[in-house]
Amino acid sequence: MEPPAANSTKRHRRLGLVLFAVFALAMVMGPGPGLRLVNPEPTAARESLLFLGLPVIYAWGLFWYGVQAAVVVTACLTIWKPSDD
Amino acid sequence: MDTAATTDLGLLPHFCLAGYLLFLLGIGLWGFSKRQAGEEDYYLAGRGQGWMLSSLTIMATFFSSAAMLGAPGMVYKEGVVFALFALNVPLSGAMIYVLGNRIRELGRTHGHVTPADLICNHYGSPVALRCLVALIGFLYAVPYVVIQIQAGGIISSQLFGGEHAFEIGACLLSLVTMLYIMIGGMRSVAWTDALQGTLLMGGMLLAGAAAVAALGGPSAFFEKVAELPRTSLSVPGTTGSFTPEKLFTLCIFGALGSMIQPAQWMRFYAAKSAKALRRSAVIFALGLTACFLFGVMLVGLGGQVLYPVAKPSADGAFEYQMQIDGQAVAVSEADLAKRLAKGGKPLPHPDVGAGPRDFDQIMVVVLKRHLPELLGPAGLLLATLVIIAIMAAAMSTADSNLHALSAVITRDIYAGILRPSASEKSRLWVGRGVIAAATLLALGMVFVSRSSESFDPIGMIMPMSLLAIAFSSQLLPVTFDVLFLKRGSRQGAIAGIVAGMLVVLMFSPLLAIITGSDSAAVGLFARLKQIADIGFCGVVVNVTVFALLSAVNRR
Repeated sequence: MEPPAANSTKRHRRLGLVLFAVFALAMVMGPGPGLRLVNPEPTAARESLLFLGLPVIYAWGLFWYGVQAAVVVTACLTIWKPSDD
Repeated sequence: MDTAATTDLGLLPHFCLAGYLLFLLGIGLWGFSKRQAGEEDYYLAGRGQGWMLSSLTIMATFFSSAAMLGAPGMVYKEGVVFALFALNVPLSGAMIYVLGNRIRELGRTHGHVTPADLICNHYGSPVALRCLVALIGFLYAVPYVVIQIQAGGIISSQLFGGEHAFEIGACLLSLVTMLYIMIGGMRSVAWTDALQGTLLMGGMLLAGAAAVAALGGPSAFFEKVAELPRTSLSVPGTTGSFTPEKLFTLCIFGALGSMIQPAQWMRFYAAKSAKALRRSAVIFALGLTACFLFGVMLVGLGGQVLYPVAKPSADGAFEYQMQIDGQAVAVSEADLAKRLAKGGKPLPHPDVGAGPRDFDQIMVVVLKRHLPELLGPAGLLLATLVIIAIMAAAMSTADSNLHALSAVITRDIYAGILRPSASEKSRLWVGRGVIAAATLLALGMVFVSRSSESFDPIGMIMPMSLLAIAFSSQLLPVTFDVLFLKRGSRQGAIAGIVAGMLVVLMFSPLLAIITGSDSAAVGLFARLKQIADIGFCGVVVNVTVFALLSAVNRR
């Protein structure tokens, strides 16, 4: 059986990888190529430019900002903590 | 709405600005009274900054006139697409801990003061690499200081008007900043940054609120925004410059490049503990992004409604004003792309400015005209405070960069190469001389650019900032290697940085000056610039050369 410290390091490394992947996804989807998924076609109806009254591009940015913020807070509360001095 | 009506702010801005500048000088004197002997105290405030001071000084250094004037100016010009550039901020925040804490630990262990200390200590290159890292610091700091001084001039001319308001504002900002850095070093810079950081975070949110209120509240604001031209509400924006791929590379390299520039790097060294950087990272990532998305970006968007860049014509299509061969010409929506490709430049609403670079003035125009209209005397005071916050943004970035530049030139060039036996006292005096010389150089560049129609190396604030960040991005490959990989060689590091910098230089106005603005090379790099960020192009070449040469050296 592995000692608790080794287990904790392994868990942190796995969590670190997951957080990195989610953050990278937020970067690709928010201000990156993922924008093409919501960007209205030039000929699309004017309503397609909006989502809940907000410009769809802006709403998309707000959503991915939320994801980024959640990742940073989680990292701060978990994987960044043990290296504190 | 009568957008042409201007509000006279009276003598209030004069008194507020004078009080603010005197207070900054007071902090400079306070820093001087707290000084301890030695370079480490002058450049790093004794490596004892706690989380509150660290977070505010890192934010204030990051926040420049590019954030307060340039970003809303770009949203005003390009539309909502540029608001997404704010998503680079959480990445910068994460880097404060991921990169910053390792830099802090190594700096404390080995007594490093500048980025070159750490990098050259790792690769064992006392001259060539040190000169290159110092050159990158110079190429980042000088343009950044130049645009802050320019912003000081813009604010002054908007606030006070008059024939020489720009020049007086630019000189005043330079002089006061130069004085308090020279007097108090890092301690004064960090404490003035703390004041300026608080002021400008409040200013950003207040400016956003003012723009929303000026259009009748959140619902009315977004209803009116929904009627803007299609290009303002979609990707790639009015001029077609911001494709998702370009925006993506811009966010990645804008975030990383601005976090490893010398002034930030020295703030990591100056932090007291990992806890200080961890908390700074969270405050930065969450708070600052919110200030952008809910603050200044809304000013740009509201600006498009209040001061339209495109007027609807009788057939429902929009008509833009463009500068073509020095003349203002009306261009239909259908012809916009064709005219842009031929070198036409969009113009802002005449009440905002007359030239293509006047988009940056939207923030001051909205504040000055609409806050007093909405809130009366209280609005007058708030408008003045936010305009001073813009001044604070410019000064806090200028001071950090001048201070870092002084450390870089003194430690890396003067004491590291030219006079290794120089005493600490003489190094400190050389450092102060560098601050004065760099300030005068930057001020001179602002005046030359302003007085010449044909020579304009500065242009709009945002593109100039991005060029400076592209230079500092060239330190990314060696930084990641030194902190994490440890597989690169000295020769690879040197060759990689040189190659990356050459690529970035090709995108700068220098190429047009050398080869002529209509040369094939200028056309090629202009097309490349449409596809990806300049820093990204440089880093791709940099990494390739670095990896190949390091692999050859390992054999």
